[in-house]
Amino acid sequence: MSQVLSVKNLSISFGGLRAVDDLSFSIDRHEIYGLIGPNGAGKTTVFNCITQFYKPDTGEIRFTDQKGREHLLNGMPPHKIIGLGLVRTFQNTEIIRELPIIDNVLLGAHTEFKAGVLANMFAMPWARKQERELRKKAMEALKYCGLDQIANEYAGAQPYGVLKLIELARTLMCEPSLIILDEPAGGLNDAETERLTELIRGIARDHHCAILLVEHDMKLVMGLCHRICAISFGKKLAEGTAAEIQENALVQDAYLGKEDEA
Amino acid sequence: MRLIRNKYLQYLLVGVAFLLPVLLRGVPTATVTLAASMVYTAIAGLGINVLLGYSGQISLGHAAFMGLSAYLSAYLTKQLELPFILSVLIAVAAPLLIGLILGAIAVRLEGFYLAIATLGFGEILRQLFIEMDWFTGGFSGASATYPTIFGQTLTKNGMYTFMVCLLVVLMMLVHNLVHSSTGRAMIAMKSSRSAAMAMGVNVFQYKLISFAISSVFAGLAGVCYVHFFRHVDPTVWTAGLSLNLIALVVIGGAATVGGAVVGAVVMHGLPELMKEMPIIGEIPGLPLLIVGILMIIILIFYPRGLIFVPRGIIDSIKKRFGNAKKGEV
Amino acid sequence: MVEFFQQVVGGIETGSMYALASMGLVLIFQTAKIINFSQGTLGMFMAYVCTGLILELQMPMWAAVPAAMGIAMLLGALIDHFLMNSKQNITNLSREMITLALIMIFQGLAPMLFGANETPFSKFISASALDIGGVKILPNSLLIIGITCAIMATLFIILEKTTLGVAVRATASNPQTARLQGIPVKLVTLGSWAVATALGCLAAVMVAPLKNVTVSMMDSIHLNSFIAAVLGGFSTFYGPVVASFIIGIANNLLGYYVSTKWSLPMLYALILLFIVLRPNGLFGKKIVKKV
Repeated sequence: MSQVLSVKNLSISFGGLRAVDDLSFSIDRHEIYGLIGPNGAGKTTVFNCITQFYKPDTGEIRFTDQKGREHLLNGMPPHKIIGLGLVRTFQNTEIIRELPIIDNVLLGAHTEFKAGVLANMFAMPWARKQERELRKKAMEALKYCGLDQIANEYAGAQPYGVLKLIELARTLMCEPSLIILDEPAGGLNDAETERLTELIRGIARDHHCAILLVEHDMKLVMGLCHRICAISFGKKLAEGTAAEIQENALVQDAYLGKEDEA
Repeated sequence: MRLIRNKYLQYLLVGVAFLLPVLLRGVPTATVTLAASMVYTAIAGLGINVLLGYSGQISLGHAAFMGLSAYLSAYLTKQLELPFILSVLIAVAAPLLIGLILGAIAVRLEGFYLAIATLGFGEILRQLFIEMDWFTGGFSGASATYPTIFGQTLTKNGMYTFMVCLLVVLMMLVHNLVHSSTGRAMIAMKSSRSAAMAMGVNVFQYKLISFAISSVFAGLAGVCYVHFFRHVDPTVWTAGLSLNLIALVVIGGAATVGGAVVGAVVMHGLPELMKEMPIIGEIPGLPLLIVGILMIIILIFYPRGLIFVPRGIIDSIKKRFGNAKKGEV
Repeated sequence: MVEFFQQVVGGIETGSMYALASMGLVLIFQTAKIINFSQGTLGMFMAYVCTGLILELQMPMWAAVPAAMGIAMLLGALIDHFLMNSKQNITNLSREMITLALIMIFQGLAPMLFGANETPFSKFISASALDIGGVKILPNSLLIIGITCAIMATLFIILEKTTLGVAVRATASNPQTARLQGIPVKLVTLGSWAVATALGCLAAVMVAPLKNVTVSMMDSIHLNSFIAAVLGGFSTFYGPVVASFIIGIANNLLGYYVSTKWSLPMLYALILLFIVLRPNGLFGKKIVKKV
């Protein structure tokens, strides 16, 4: 099976603190891959390095797009990443509160828009047409996530669970081949988490894409992920299936054991 | 009801309302002059709203851009006798070009660098206005004429009508812009830079675009000013005017198309009203103080701006009315 | 050569005023993460207050200036408490715009309360100039430079050596973490506002004898303190202070050797060029934003 993302020897330090230390892993096409680790293990930092929000000190991050072309992500400006088909969500949800829900989702298709400033200013018919088409597509994405009823309400007024879903719907607009989810179930209740698990599984299946996720909810991770990588202090502890990870002594020490106490 | 909701129609109605002083008989010319002040500030304010309201950047140098265009247009039409349209194009291209260069330096950095760079640059420009007297007439200023468009030399009322038409067209263009992918990207980068970047918005590019648009609008406002008042001197284009532009956008309603117009009306109307009043009219600095206080009240308690006051009142009446109805049932 | 030193001494004197103002800017920027655009205007207003204390209440200069600085501290604290932190969800952009509104408020208030006329303001020391190897130095200038150096030294010692300084620096580097570690972040920003406003007041009182007390007296000081903060880098405390002296001296030398009229525009252009090459200023570090 071909890979969609490969991370090799990734390291980054902040003022002497090694947040990620020589980490390597790779994700296959259509795979749901989990990244777990105790708080402060550097999971979100890994995401930020992959999407070039942080520039890693060492290591190579390679991404293979839908057409099979390989791209070296290192040094790319962050706004170019989504164009390759690699899209992310944020730990604390980054939603545009001033915009209606559907416009938030449309933002996910930003790179698709052909119209420039002048075409938009003079509302050229072709630009309006493209806007209408993408709006339809955004509506479908919202429907997929069960938000189509409130598509025109302002995002700022929505509860946390809905914000998480808007972010998810937003990732579906760019024909992704890899979606990175940063704690998709953070702050959700059990029923919501269960629905979300099904939704993520459905997205991987229906959109033929791989998913890389960080999550603290072990039930979700173990039930959903094909493979899991456990890290601690930026270092890889173990990699394998849910069962393998659960049995790994190192992981139990660093993570699962402590989780039980809490 | 649906017709009134049509935004283009609303903007046309705003235009008609502004034209009342020239349409009605017996309106003193001072009223037209006051209204013209509102219109040219509204045009500059529209641009500032794209910059500040939609993309969240502060500029303290747009008054200088207005001045630059005003001087240029006066010089080109009077000294070089270029046709009005051509001189407008050149006069507006100048702040656009400078804006792009200045923006390219400052916009890459943290947000506040733009405010400081424009403040400094505005001061340099103002110094130029004073020193380069072969071009600007120094302290005494330069004069200009009513423009000639397509062989027709405009009168005072004609120039005013031209300005109102320009305002209406610009409102429509801004409306189109902010309701498109460009406007969405601007609002996104103001609200969450991270989300905007992750979704493919080139933040640098969009900041620069909004700065360029606002520079062009400031240029157009300057051109309107010089050909309506037919005189331009360096005392007008201070950082204080740039500050006023920001204040009127905030007071009228940031990130709304009509906000700049409402703000401009308040900004120029308020001091005029107060002049009429006994005692209060005598106090120096009072209008400035009131505008400042109004701005803070709006920023803290009513960030949507004055433009939402009527709608807010209607909504609260509706709510009461609706509740009463429910109560009856 | 004598003229050269004469210009340098003059530059150090004006640089002192820029340094006080830019220190105020950076204090607020570091702790509250906003630019206080009203720094200069608040200083101007406090110069009026100081004039009022001297002329109306017949206070001697040595008492009026500290009294005005005390009032300035109170004013700064009130602004921070009632305007900057009036609501939880107020954005930093709104806060910066509130400081813009403060410019209008105090520019409106000053002529209302104190009249629209220019008021002369006497020097701290009116003794005639000393002659040091041909370079003429007013004792008043020496006092200004001395006070500034003393204040800067005190501030740096507080910032570097005391627990209070640690609290300020911790707030500056990460307010959330600082709050979690029990540092009263709110009090730190309140204190920064108070100290910054007092510094602005002092700068204004120093300028006052040169320019008289007017609404626009602080305009150029304010702008140059901004430029100094940009040149020195907003991410350090000492950078803007050093840059203030550089700007003061460079402006004087350019004015003397090249052109008085064009010295400032040339200086700004040079600094703009410099920022293209070194976006974070002379001493600044890149600010890494947490996502």
